[in-house]
Amino acid sequence: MQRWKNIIFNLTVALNCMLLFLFLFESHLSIPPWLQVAGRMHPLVLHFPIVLLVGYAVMVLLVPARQTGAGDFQRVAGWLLLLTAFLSVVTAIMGLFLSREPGYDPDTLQWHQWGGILISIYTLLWYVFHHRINTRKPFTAFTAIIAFFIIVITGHLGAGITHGDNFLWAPVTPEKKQRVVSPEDAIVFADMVYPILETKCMTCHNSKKAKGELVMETRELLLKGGKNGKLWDSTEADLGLLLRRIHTPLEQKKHMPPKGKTQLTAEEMEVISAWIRRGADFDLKIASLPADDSLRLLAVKMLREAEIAEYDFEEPDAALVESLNTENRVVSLEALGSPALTVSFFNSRLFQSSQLTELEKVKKQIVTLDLAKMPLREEDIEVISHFENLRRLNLSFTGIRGTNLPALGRLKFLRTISLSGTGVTTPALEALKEIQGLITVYAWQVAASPDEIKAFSSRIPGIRFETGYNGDTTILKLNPPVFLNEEKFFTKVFPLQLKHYIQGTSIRYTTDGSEPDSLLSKTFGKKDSIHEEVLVRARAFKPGWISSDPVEMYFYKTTYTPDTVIYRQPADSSFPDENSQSLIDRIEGGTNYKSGSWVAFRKNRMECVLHFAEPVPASSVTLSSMVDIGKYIMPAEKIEIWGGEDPQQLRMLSRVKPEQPGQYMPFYLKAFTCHFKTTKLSYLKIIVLPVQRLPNWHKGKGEKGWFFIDEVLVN
Amino acid sequence: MEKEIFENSLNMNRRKFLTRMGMGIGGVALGSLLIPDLFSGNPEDILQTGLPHFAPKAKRIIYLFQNGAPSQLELFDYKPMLQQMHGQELPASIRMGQRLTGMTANQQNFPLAGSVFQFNQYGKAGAWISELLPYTSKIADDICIIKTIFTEAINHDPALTFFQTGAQVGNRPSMGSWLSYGLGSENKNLPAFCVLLSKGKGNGQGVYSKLWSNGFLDSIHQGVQFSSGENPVLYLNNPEGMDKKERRDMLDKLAELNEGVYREFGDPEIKTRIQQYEMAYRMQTAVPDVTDLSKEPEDIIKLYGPDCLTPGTYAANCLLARKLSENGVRFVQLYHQGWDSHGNLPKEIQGQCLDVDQASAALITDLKQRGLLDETLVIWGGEFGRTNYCQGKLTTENYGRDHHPRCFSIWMAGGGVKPGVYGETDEFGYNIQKDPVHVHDLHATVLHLMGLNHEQLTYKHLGRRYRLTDVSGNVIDGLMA
Repeated sequence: MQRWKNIIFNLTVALNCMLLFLFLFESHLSIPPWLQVAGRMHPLVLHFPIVLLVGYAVMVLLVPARQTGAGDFQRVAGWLLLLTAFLSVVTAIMGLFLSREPGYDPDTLQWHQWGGILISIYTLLWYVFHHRINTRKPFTAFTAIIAFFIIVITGHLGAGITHGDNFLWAPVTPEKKQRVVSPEDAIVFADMVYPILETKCMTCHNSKKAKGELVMETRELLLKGGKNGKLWDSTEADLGLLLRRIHTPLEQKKHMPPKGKTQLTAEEMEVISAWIRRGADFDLKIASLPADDSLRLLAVKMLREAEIAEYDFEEPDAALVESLNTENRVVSLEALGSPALTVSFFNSRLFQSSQLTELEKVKKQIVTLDLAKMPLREEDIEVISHFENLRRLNLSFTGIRGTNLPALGRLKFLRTISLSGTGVTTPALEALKEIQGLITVYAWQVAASPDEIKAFSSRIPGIRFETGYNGDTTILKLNPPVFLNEEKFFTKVFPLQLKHYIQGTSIRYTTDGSEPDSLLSKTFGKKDSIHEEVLVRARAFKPGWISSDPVEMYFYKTTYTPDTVIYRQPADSSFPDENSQSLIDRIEGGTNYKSGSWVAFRKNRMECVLHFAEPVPASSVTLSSMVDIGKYIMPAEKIEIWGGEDPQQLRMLSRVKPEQPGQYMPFYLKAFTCHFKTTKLSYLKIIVLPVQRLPNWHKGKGEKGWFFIDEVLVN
Repeated sequence: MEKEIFENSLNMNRRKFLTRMGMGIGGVALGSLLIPDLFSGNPEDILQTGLPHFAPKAKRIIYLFQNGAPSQLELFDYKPMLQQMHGQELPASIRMGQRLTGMTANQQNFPLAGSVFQFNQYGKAGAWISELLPYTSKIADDICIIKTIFTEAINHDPALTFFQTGAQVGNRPSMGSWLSYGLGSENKNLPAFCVLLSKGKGNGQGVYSKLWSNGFLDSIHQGVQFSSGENPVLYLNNPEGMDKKERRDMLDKLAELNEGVYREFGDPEIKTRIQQYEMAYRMQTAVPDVTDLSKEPEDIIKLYGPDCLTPGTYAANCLLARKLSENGVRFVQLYHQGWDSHGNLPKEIQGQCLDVDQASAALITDLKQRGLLDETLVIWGGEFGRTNYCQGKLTTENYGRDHHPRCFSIWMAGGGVKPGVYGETDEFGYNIQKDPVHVHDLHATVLHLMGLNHEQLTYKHLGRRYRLTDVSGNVIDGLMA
């Protein structure tokens, strides 16, 4: 046992010597990979000496003296201390190996190394003298306390290296209050560049350390540069020293920040170079850059507003806010936990100026105010100017002329104002210059013309004016007029109803099938009416617009209405005519084949008899039908009209084979008329054969087609 | 002996019991110090306030839903490779066994179809936009085109339901209902969630009222459909012979009766019903004002296009959407049908684009010139995309495309959205190459822009807390300014 003790003791002494040696020639060390593995075990092994030392301290300090006299006790305690010393030096050497790997903050590392070496030697000496120290308890206690402090400090530094600075205290350290700026208010240098320099450069380039004689803390010192000269030169291709150092490869000595320190991110590099490229102007504002400027886009990304924008005013009284809500005024917190209020007004008829004055009670908290379309008076602007924290103001379509706009100069946080649709003139807009932080003005359809605003805005570079859409030079094609006549079947004269929804259009129409034009065709008037079967074609005309395409509608006259309909073959069960009225009810089927007014045939042919109680002298029969090729709804293949006064002796009056379409076409309505010599009719039999084989170009080729019918008209 | 020792150890006297219990409870108490919310009531209380969780970027949403799924390959996702390989077979390495709909699953081959339309680059981000969208290309700098949105469903109804409610099966609240629930209505005289429908001439797919259902939320959050025609909200006007005073008296009496029933049964739907009557009463004055398009100036008509005054058109709905939105309607949902171009795509899509291009772009310009685009989020897109291979017969000018859920394009504008192009698809336009955006991610991002944490906007139903994003979804930072 004693032999082992000697071996370990000797080994410990040897290792301590080696440690000192390695430390002395640290910069020349080259660690083979397998030793790196040993080095990386440093964070594991370091726990053992600590625990052993604690064990030893507990034994010698807390165990009552009468029990410590025994030889076994002394032996065990001695072993503990020896192992502590041994493992301390092993840990320290491993740590030294690990420290050769890149990426550690050199300052902290140095102190940690010193601490490690100190512990190693200290524990060794303790072991050597432990018999003497143990003669008196205060000696032991004193030695232990010193060891405790060295270990705590070294351990804390080590934790700082692996977990980051201030790892231990971060949860209880109040966060440094960062100035929250919105991209619109941000100054490039102060809000973007300086914070980068502060965190990434100033740990060394500060007035205390001033490495390379460079201090970055103030503008003047930045401009002065260090011993290697000025920091930037926007005329050089690489923009000067600062960026050259940043872009130098990491391995080279000149690279900044040095190896081991936290490096700049790609974005941060871009911010600095973009700022220098634009002339390194300390006062450059984000808002003055074009909306697509790369620096501006970066700014928006980096300065993304905190989720709850920071406001330095107190939260309003909840009951007060509640009481301010009325039928047409909505006052609400911007978000949970935010002190800011958003106020909107609706329903202009209920608006009174007093509703605005009532808001004075929360004048500090209002950040958004929407008064669009409210009948404001110029004096009301004065009231608004009391809302000192206002950010967004919507005054569009309020009818103000802007004589009182200068009052808004007090609103130093106002960023956006909408004046669209108001009578604001150019002189009134002039007052907006006084609003320091103003960024966007919406001025569409105001008294000042877009050109005036354009000329004017070029004089105020900080403010963006949105003048919106102006249709003066746009020439568009009118849409066609619409027929309001719902019924296309008529028995007696009825008014033609045409409408165009755009005011000031004139509708012209023809009844002879020709294209309506703006000169010769009849202008539609309210008194126009239809008295005969006719095709009406109509177009809309308006100055400043291209005339519309024509629309057309066929009006069918129906002189005689049969009294009953008898089907000889039932209609298809999906589209039946349940009470045998559908064909004579004068209700149009419309464009929807499922409307219920359509009767359809596919398997069966249509064969029905129409009966007139009183015989009628008829000369034509019209079948109102639809065609929707994609849905297999085709024109009839064959139509036969039979008629007479005796149901047993009907004569064929007409037989038609309607033309079939030759290709796919969109849906259309189609009427088939069969003319014949005027005949006295009591009975009329109609036979329609649906298409028996769909043509080859159709997706359902060879299948049967559908025949759809909504009305039968007899004249 | 062993048995006795064992039994003894099982015995417990009062002192032992109290000591152990004391230690146990002490331990639990100590532990509870670290869980502050443990005994502090239910977290749903937060929502009672109707306030955003954090400062919102957008206050309102207008969702221009292109129902039927517009082809991304004809509009935003420019793929010259498809033109070069027109008619060649889709490589299996690209398709990777993707399931197909019943409409093309049995197709013998899958010939690639290049778009017949020309593309050009627009805006500062150089976004590719097709010649079909001349107006949209002019607002390229205001919109963010997401080329890599993807969904899980391959057929219209589940896909549409998924986009609207965050689940493919029905019965969940619609996005607008969730926002109504989370943020409430801005204007007390109008519903928080309005729905407008229009129809193009292209092949259409159905739109059902379940899409704007409140699901398990209180029915006050249901979408209110505005119809075209003289009465945008049906049965809102007083019948002839009834004046405002009489209506008021009637409602007061009715509310009294309903209150009585509520006291007896305690059904919360009774309260909702009373609220809805009151809302309808207030809407009687607000709705005619808002829906009256006749006073819009000529500039606006030219901006939205001549159709914008014809009730029931997409353009009129866009104009109406702006009016509703500027009057404080939280969520305006438009649907435009007719994008389901399985065949005859080049022709059908031209008609659809003619319907929507000018008015969609106009809405952005109009909101912008009023200073409202900053606080309004506009979303444009369908329920999925269309395949890069042809459905049916392929010719040089004509082809059709089937449903494609793996990648498609939508755009967003306004309210905190970062303009530009987001995401990349492969050169076949079949798979996502970079920055995928799942439907849940889109929902999470949209809620975030509205100041809501999608994980906190929950409602407890059938013993479980439901969210619009179900159990997933990430806020996509790259989409936000």
